[in-house]
Amino acid sequence: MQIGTIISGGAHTALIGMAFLGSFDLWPSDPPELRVTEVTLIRAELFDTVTSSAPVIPLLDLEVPELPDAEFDAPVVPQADDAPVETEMDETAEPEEADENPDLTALLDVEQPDVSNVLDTVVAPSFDEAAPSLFQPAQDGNELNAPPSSISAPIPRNAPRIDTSAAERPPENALPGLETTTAVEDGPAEIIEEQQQDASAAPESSTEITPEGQENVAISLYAPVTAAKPPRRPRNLRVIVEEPESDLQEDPVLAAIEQAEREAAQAAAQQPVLAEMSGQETASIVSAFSPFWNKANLIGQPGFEQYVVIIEFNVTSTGVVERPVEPYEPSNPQGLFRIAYDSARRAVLQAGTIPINSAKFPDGLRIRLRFDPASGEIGLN
Amino acid sequence: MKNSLGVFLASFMLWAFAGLAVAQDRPLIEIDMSGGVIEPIPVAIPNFIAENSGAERLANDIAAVVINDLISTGLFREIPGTAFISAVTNFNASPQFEDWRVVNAQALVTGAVSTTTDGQLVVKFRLFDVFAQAPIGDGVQYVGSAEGWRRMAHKVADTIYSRITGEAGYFDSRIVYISETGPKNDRRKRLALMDYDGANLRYLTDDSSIVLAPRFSPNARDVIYTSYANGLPQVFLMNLETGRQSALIEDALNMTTAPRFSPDGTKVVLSVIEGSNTDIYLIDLNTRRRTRLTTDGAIDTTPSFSPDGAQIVFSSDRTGRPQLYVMSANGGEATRISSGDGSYNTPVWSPRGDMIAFTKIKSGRFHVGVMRLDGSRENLLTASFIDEAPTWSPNGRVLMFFRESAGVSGAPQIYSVDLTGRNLRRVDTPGFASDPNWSAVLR
Repeated sequence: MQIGTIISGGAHTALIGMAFLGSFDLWPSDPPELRVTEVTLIRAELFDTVTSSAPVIPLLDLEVPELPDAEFDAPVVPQADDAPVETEMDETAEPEEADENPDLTALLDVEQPDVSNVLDTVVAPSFDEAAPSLFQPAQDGNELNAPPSSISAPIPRNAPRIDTSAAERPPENALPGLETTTAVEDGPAEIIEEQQQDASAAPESSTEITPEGQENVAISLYAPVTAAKPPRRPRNLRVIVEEPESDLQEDPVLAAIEQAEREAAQAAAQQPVLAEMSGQETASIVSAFSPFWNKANLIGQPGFEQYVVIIEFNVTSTGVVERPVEPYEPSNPQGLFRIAYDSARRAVLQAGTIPINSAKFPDGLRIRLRFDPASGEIGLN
Repeated sequence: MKNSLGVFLASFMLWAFAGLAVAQDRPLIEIDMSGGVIEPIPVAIPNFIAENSGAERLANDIAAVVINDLISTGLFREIPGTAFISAVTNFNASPQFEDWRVVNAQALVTGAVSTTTDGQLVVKFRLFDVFAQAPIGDGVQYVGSAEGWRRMAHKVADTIYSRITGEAGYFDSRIVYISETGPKNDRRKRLALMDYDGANLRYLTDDSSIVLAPRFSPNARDVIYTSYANGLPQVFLMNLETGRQSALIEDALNMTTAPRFSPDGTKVVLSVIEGSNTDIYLIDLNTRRRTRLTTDGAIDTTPSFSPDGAQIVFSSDRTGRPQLYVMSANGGEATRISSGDGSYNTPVWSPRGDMIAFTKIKSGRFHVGVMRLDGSRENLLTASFIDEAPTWSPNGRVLMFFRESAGVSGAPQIYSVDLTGRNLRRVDTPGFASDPNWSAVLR
């Protein structure tokens, strides 16, 4: 008990002492002062420009260099004692008489070397071997096919090498293939008699091809005729079947209707053939109508893009527009479709004549024009 | 009888099919057109024929009004009379189409004017497609008092316009606007009424109090406007036939502005200024009961009904800058439709119902523009120092607005512009003019 009290008292005393002595940070100091750094974002190009042109300034605090003392060592001022002294220059002595007329006879006694006055001819070096001849194209008529002289022949590629060594034997425990082939034994060669070949086929196998059309028919410019629609069945077919034939023949109404239907079938058989035109021919026709196609009435209308009309009319071989200019689609234009049709019809009638190839179209043309007010660069944005 | 009819029908079918067969002998080529032009249609309108001695002057005047109406649209071009090589002397005679084709007339209008013994004026006309050599519709005749000859001329022009363009005309309509006089710092404002072309001007109020923002009722018999007669801006209702006017709301505490009729003419939607808040209210003209449509703290103003009366477009600065919003005519949630830069004001729903006209302020410039109902396809039609307060023509093809020039001497004038931005024209008014409103076509 006493020991525990002693230990506890000692420990508390030590803690209190340490608190007073400051070993524990019981009262934390003030939070560090916030340092606000303003950052400006600049573009990478600007940053590169700045860093490349301006000197790098370290962000460290540099010690300010001490200024030099104001007292300098005074420059040496020349004193009056050091002033230059004027001195006399040395004069050149006058030449003596011996120098002016020297005695050179001693030099004439010196032996001079012999110098030949005849020039030896320089001999060019001779070569025993003939000069290498340049490539000469062949003169065999294939000069144009000859390779150019500046291109050397290609180096031949190495031929593929074939390894003729035997392959390794398969392992002994290898499974045999599912398909086996029987070894072929060499037997006597089969003799095949050579049969005589005839150039002509047997009469029963030959086919005589005869043209179905007439001879000397001009090739049509137009596409093949489309299939004709079958004639419509009469609505009163049951009545016609059930009634005696004699009654039918006596009914002029039914006879006239049948006649009309036959005519209709024939007319349907004569479907219009499509003419072929080059892009230039088509463009010339479009450009003939285009200046007269006035869209002013449609532009500005709500949803004017939808008022597309197709009109149909005939043109003579000389390009004259024939009346009537009829609506094709819609067949009975109403409302703003009628306005679009009127505008299209006016354009066609105002153009009057259009350029077509009369030799190509001796019977004239039937033109189906589609007017889309949204075509071109005109519109609302 | 039955058999005869059948034979006739059968013969007709034979003839028709035979004709078809002949026509289809020629090869067919199908071509897509491209290009085209946008230019006024040349139209020849010779002087109308005076069918009796008292109608000469009116015959010429009526033809002149018809020409002016058509030319002002920008869709027609007059062929001058000096170019004519043919004269129309008999209203019932068929015109010599070739003579009119030579002068490049695409449409020809012939007309005649006569007066009756009881003082009535009779105006009749026919319209022809010169190149088709066929009439466009039947001839039309109008009968009325001689004093109403201008309206009759406008009716003729409306019919011609409608038959050629496919849309209703707008010439027989009126404009109510603010007539301004005096220097800029002491401008006198009066309510004025005129025909769409500036004729028949008359003033509805004197200049004793400032008036603003007049709007026609759908039947063009009433005008609603803002007046400072009581010291504060308040909405007044005026009957054009009696000249009687009265404050719409007898509430001297609140200021009311920017009124506009509902399409059925039974209600008025307007802005009520309460303190620093401005909200939109609906006023029942029969009971004068008011219904608050917006409740936010922003400035909600310049409301305009859709043609079916189901929706209202208005301007609000609830997001900081004035923008355009659409809400139900009963109030509730509003949907912002404008999305461009700048601020948007004075929206007006098109009579066609497909577009909304507005004033836009951007970079110090004012514009009158149009956009789709969802805010798409914004198209600025004008640009100026101040272009403001657009109003639609009855057919939704033309916008009228006022333009004010800069400077001390700057003054407002009324202009019109086509929906496509073409054909900008100044509307002649005596003195300065602002805040126009276009009526429906008169009945």
